[in-house]
Amino acid sequence: MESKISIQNLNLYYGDFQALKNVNMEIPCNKVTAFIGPSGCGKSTCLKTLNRMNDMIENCKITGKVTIDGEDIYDPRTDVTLLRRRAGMVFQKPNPFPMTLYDNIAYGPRVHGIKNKQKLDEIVEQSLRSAALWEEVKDRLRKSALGLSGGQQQRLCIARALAVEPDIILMDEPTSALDPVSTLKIEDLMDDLRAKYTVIIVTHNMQQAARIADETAFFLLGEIVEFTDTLTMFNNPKDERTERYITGRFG
Amino acid sequence: MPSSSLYGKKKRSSDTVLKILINAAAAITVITLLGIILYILFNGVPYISWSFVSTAYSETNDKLKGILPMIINTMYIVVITLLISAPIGISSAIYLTQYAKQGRLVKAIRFTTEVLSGIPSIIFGLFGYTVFCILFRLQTSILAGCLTMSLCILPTIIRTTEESLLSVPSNYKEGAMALGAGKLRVVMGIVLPCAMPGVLTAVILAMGRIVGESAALLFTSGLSYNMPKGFFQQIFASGRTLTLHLYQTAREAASPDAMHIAFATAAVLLILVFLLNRLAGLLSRALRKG
Amino acid sequence: MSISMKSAESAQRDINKNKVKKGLAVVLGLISVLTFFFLPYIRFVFKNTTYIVSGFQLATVKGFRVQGPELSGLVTIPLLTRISVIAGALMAIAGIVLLLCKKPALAGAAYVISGITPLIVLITTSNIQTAVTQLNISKITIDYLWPAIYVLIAGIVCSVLSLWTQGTERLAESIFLVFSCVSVGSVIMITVYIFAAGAPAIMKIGLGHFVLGTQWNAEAQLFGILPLILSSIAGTIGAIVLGVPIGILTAVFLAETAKPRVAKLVHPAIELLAGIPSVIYGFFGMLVIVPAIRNFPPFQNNTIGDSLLAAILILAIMVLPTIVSVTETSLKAVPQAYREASLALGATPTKTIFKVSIPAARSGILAGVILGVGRAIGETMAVIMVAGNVANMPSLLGTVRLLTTGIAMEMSYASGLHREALFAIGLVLFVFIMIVNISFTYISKRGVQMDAE
Repeated sequence: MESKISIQNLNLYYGDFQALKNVNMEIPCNKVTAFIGPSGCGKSTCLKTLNRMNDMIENCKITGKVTIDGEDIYDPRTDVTLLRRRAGMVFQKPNPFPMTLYDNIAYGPRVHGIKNKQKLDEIVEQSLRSAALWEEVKDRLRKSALGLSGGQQQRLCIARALAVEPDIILMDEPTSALDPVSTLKIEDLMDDLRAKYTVIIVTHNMQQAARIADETAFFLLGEIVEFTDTLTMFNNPKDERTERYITGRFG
Repeated sequence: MPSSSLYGKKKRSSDTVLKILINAAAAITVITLLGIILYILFNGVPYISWSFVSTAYSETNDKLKGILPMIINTMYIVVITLLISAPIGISSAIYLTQYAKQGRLVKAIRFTTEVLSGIPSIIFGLFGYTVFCILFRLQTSILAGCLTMSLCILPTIIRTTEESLLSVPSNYKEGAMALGAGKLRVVMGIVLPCAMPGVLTAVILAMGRIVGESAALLFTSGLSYNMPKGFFQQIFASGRTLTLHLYQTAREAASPDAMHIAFATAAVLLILVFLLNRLAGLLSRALRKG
Repeated sequence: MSISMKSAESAQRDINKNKVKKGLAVVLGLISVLTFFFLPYIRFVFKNTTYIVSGFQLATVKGFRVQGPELSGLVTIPLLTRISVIAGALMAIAGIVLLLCKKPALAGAAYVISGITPLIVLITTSNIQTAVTQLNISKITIDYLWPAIYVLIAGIVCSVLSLWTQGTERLAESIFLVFSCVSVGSVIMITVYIFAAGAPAIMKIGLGHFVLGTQWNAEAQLFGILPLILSSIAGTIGAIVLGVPIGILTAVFLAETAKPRVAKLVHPAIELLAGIPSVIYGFFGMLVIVPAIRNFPPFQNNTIGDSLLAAILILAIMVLPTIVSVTETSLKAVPQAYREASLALGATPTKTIFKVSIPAARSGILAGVILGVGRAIGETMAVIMVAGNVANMPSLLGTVRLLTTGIAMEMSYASGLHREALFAIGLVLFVFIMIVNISFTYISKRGVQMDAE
């Protein structure tokens, strides 16, 4: 199977500090890939290189190649807004806009030029269904999004990301701020999403990775120590450091 | 799912237009400011001389066109107004932040302070005239002007002092009270000194505002340009400030020199206001570090 | 234990101190009462006759026999003066009694009132002036002798002492409380006085004729302020329409798009703009903007320059700093999370500013606009110098007079009904501003409520 995303010799520097060291990865299409590892080891940073959110940071320098469907996303010809449409992101803390639910979800399509009210209505409903939120909120679309619970807000953010029709969904510790019930709901959702999208999730919760990921990458101090399918990683890790992390001896 | 290429940057004309507008707006703001300041300083500074700043003023005598009386009057007004309003404002802020329980009285005080800050200075002038000049029989005098200005400036002092007091970390207070210190001692000995930089900055900014005020003083402290006759006497005498001198000179344009005097007065005013602003900024930064 | 012994000792010391304070307050209060009544209090000098009266006499004597150039008559002492004197003495006695009955807070209040009575006497004796003018005496001098000043000081000192008997804490709290009520008191006083000074003219001229009349001609006793009202509205709207967009965009520049070094330069510029005195803006307007308008070719010499347009331009400049700083603060307060979410969805930074940041900051921006409106409606000096000050109906290139300038222009020489009419303009302006402030605050609160739903 062809890989959707290919990372080759990626090095990332925040000023003098090297956050990512020679990262190489082939991320498969239509699967859930998890990045695990202790805090501050570069998982989120690596995730953000995939949709160039690192561009926001002042002293950030990148060498190496990151390609999606064969195209280098750091090529000067790249349209960053289009890239971010193709690779949507869900953040650790749910961050719905201070607008109505409808406007939250319609924001993305509107920004990309869709003005037709009917089309927007369809997109809103479709996205909310895909995020398993439609039934709960279909009667309060015109109310403020800030009135939802934490778990609902996060699913709203997922729906909002789905509304622009991405191929890839990047999730940066999406359930770490949520209660267990909401967490399980979102994990179920991720399970369904894999059919249409390529999902990459950063998590510091190993059990979560074990539950939902097809492939797992273990990051340590900016390097990938091991990258293999989840079953092998948790039952038969090749690297000693992986084994120590998984059995809880550090991290 | 769009499977089109990622390459091919789109030109977004609306974004470019907006960016141009943003930069244009900032440019307009800065250019206007620089324009006004440079115009005044350019035309005014050449006419500022030591004798200008230290001579009296007379409408008939061509040799006496200095602004010393105005400078003295301005100083009188600044000092006396602050003497009146600073204790009242700081006490109000202390009460609101340290003593008061959330209730109708606090809401009333806050509401009236808001109202006071929205009243235009000409109405303060009218009020000052009716009450201080006529009713309290002070007639046009520096004192009447100061009482009026105190009301104008009170909301500013209360608000800024409140902010400074609220920014004092609560563990200072708690620590002191846990040691058995009475509330007054805690407030005056710990909270207030800690908030001092903010309070002092507020006072200096208030000074800047007082120096620049004109409408409230027009009818209350008057337009007299006589040299002060006595230290205490001047408080009860009428006297014009720098701002009103500028106003009067520019409007009357009595002689060809009048414009020079007006520009020079304007330049002096600007420099004074700048210095006060810088002082406030430096003070707040220095005291914050120390 | 030594600690409890110490506190017993200090408790005893406190009680002694309190006794001293009480005694002092009582004694001073007694002296105050005596002063009121038996010591000479005020000296009235009518042309050639001098009367030195004590409080008792003020309260009981019918009046002064005064000899004018032609007539002589009895100048009666105003009733309020009598009442104030009697009230002063009674309050001093009440203070003493309350203090001895262990009600220090009320005693403090009573003492303060007794101390204020000399001031009220001062105010109420102004009626004597009007009675005296009828006798063709132009001026009387009223001097206050030491006893009057003593009463004032004693009132405050006794009040402080009585409150102090409750401990320094309560005294400090009471003092802070009294000062805090100054702002409440002054707003009440201002409202009362504006209405008291402005209402008579409106009643004499008639509300409809005043507010809707289109002619303002003092000599002809025509007092219609519709042109002034419309000009004020036009000037304010113009200033807002011009100043708010530029202000918001400049704030966007400072908060979102400018590089930090550039922002650091522009920031102090805005603060400086905020501190420039209004007369300097007016001066600049008078010398630069007015001639520019006058000589502007498209206007084809139709204007002398002093105009509504000049007023709008100068007001817009004055309103800029407020709008910029409030909007900048509001934009900086918008959580970064919203911007990240917007960018992650594929919006450009510029779109993010206009579709996410500014809407999120809208309540703050509105507050800034309200402040700006207040500043524009209330500006006087700068407008006087550029607007021409003829009470015409507003036209962009014609001279106008606003509500504010209308008051300032004629105050110095107005008298009688004319002067009362000027106060009435002040009243209208006051009501206007109250309405604007309250309605804007109401609208912004409703906006916040809608968001919260």
